[in-house]
Amino acid sequence: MDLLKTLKKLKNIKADEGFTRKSRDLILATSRSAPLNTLNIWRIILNNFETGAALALAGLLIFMIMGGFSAWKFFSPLQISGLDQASLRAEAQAIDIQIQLTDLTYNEPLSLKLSESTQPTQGEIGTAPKSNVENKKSETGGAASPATSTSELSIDEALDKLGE
Amino acid sequence: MTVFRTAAARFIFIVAVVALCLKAGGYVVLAQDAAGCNLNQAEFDELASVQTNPSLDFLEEIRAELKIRRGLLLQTVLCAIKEADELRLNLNQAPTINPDAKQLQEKLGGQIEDALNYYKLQKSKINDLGIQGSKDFAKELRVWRESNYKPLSLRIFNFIIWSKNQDIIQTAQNRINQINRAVVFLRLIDNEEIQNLFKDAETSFGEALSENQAALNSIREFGTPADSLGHIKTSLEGLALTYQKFFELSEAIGKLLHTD
Repeated sequence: MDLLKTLKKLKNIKADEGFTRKSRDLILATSRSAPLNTLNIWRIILNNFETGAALALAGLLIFMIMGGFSAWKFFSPLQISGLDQASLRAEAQAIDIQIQLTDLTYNEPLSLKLSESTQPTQGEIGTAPKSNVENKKSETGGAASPATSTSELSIDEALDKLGE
Repeated sequence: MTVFRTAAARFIFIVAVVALCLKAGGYVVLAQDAAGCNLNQAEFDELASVQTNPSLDFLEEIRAELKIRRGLLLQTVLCAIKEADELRLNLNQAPTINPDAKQLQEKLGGQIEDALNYYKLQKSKINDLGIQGSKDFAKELRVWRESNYKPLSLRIFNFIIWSKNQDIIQTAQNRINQINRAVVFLRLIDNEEIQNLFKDAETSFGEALSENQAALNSIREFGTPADSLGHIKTSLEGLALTYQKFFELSEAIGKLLHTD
């Protein structure tokens, strides 16, 4: 019976007010930490991204160094001013090629002399131009120059033979 | 290590071969085209041997000679057609931005088309020719080529060269503008040496430009091919001189920047 009394007494037991407040705060604090977990995931992603970016930049830097990139050259005043010697040389070379082309004169584009020509610039325009000296001969009405090959003839040489 | 070396050597070899193939692609095609048009001396020698063959009677000799002559004429005209066709292709591929040049390109294209039609018409006549007719045909075609085709082909050649020069001229123009801005920006405008070199470059470039225009006028107005080519050459020489001045400017500016 004493036990029953004791149990009835227990019904009236209340928690200490300070303990209740402390516990509530703790529970509220725990519930607030839930969205913080989501933030942590983003932070991890961000951290990974930063690491990846750092690696990529480091790779780029190594690539640039290995590839011979020189910031000094790239940002040098001569480069900026368009007076970089390498670029100028490349452009001057293009002019030289054109000058060489003008030294060659169109004569017999499909003459078999083409096969003997060695200069690539001749091929560029699909002709087998002659030298200036040869050209002067034809301009002054001189006979077509003799075939340089014993086995092949130009169109004009063939027509000359067929006209005989 | 040896394996690596071998693999690396193979790789370099393959890359070099591919690069060479790409670079030489155009020329290879042209060489093949040329190879497709063979006028062999041996075939012409055959003509002479028929004429002096004692085993043939008169009629046999005539028949054999006529057959060879017609075959050779056909071959020669086909070569001439191929030659003109290739020239037309090169003309059409010439880069033209200038409207005047574009107009001239179309005009020259029409003329080379006429030449092609002429050759095709001549080709259709070959089968009806007799021995004397074939000789006359060859002579007339030779004269026509000398008086019509050759001047036209030289004009077209000059035009192609001229049109290829336009890119170079534009690049030089851009350089001049760039250098002009840089000289002002680097405050070198008061330096006498720089000033003189830049003026010289501008003068040479101006001459190159006026010769370039003169070349176009000469091609358009039926000037002699030699005259047109002369203007083109002078223009290019002017450009070369301009670049010479650019090099000198580069050195002079480089020295100034290093001493400052």
